Amino acid sequence: MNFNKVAVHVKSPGFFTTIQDKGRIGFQEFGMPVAGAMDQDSYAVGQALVGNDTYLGALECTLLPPTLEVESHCIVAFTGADMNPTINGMPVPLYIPFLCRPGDEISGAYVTEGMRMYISFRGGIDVPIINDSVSTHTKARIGGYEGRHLMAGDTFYIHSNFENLAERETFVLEKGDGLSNTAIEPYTVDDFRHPIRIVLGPQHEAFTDTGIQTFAQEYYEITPQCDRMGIRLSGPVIEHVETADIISDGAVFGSIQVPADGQPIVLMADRQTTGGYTKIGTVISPDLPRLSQIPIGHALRFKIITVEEAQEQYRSYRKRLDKILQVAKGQSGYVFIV
Amino acid sequence: MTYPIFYPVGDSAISAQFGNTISVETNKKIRTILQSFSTNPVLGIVELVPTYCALLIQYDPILHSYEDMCHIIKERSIIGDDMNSNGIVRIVEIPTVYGGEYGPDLEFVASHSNLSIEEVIAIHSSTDYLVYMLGFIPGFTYLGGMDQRIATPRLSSPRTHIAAGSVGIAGNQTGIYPSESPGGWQIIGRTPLVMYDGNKEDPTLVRAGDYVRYVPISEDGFLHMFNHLEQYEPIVHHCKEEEVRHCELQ
Repeated sequence: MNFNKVAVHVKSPGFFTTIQDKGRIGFQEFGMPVAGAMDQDSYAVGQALVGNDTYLGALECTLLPPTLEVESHCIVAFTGADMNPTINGMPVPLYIPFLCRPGDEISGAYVTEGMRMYISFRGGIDVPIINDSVSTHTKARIGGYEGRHLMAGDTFYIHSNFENLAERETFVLEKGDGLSNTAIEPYTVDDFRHPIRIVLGPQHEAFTDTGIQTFAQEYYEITPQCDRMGIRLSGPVIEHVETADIISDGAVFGSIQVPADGQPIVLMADRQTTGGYTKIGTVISPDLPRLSQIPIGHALRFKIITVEEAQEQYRSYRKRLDKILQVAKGQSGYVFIV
Repeated sequence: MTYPIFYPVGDSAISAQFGNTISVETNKKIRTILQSFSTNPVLGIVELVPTYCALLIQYDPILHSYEDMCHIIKERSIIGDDMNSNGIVRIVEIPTVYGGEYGPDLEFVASHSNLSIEEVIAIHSSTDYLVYMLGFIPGFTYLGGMDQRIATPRLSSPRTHIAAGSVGIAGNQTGIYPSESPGGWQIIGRTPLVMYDGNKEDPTLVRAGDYVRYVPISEDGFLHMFNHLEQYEPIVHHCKEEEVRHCELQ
């Protein structure tokens, strides 16, 4: 028996479930991709809701969540896309911390809105730390649970904080209570309709004026070729002046590269550190969490803003997010039980 | 055009371009600025990613505006120009066993180049290769300066499994696979060294701006080193730039 850790058994793995945190920050110089949660905001709010003071390993579920059985008491919260989470078959709301008891089953259903839901645990998931992070990069087979997505039969552990969770004060959720967290607003379909704001560069000069105009005015559809590395979009061809190839340079989360076929690819959390295609622009960081939740098949539009506007947007976004995180932190004291 | 040229990379990063061709001079400029940021750090700079011609800097836009960042980098590049003269460089030795099961394509490279196996090894290990950048996968080095006489095209069909530490040739490039991976390079040898260690703050033996020197070892030497890696202290020479060994035919 391991008294310091809570075992969690994976009964069914969900569509694509990985362990993620903030990512490996500071190692791109050595070629290490950052990885980390695609929707950093939902992940961070989840961490605050379960009362984690630092950013610890959580589950990122894609489209369909796993079914898990917990062996001891633990506190969980669901954030991000709505996958109708349940505890022992009872529907529970997102954005509320819940206490699970030994033998409890956590599950859910196919997503109703968005792409990714986060399951955060108080204490965080205990897997080996590589370059300051437990994030999974499946293509490089690094981090998380053996460098891969969860599979049925896996068992992972949660760090315990040596609290007596069994005797913790909780609030009981009765069926039909209609509990929801109005202080923290989850995503709505409406969010997906707003244009994604971008700053031109670093290789916008490699595109014709017509190319830039096409990019800024037309709709681009999210194709099924979208994963944690990048989102391939499909739409009117963005015209290059001459070539789509450059001497490889650095890329960030949100870099929009356009290869010779003129179809944009937005580089996401698992992107390689460098790339050899022209990058027309970069999605501003406040719009990245939303972008990572836009479902396959949706068409989106880009809106070009200046770097000054983008930084102004970033500052007000940080203020908003910090406020939400503070609220969530406060709410971590109010734990429910089914 | 006067370098550096700046481009915004969204709200939280900037790209400073120092040239538009792959050259030792451009790499040197980038390396000097990189060093300046590591000896004299700026609060709010989150990440530095050096590449062939550009330096990408991720920063916190709450602490620095884009314009601030342009000034900071410009200042550093002027200071860099002054202190660049007595450049000392690092040459990192990579002990390598050539041929046999460790380098299944060595014979092909030799016959393709109309050279003997011994000549290929001698040519490959007599040049010091500049590490232009790291990328693609953790610890993968983009090296420059290989002798054209041993340039060999990639395999027509990539292998699904290449052992960690494999040393290969692809066109006029040479490099090391830091981890087990699929790949299409002509594999000529293998090093027992761990090229990327995720448990270290400095996870790689070599950094952008260093030179790599392949040193031929025997199979016994390889196995001994492989089994006693914790005792092996990597050999790093700090030399003047003139002492770097360049190839005869580039």
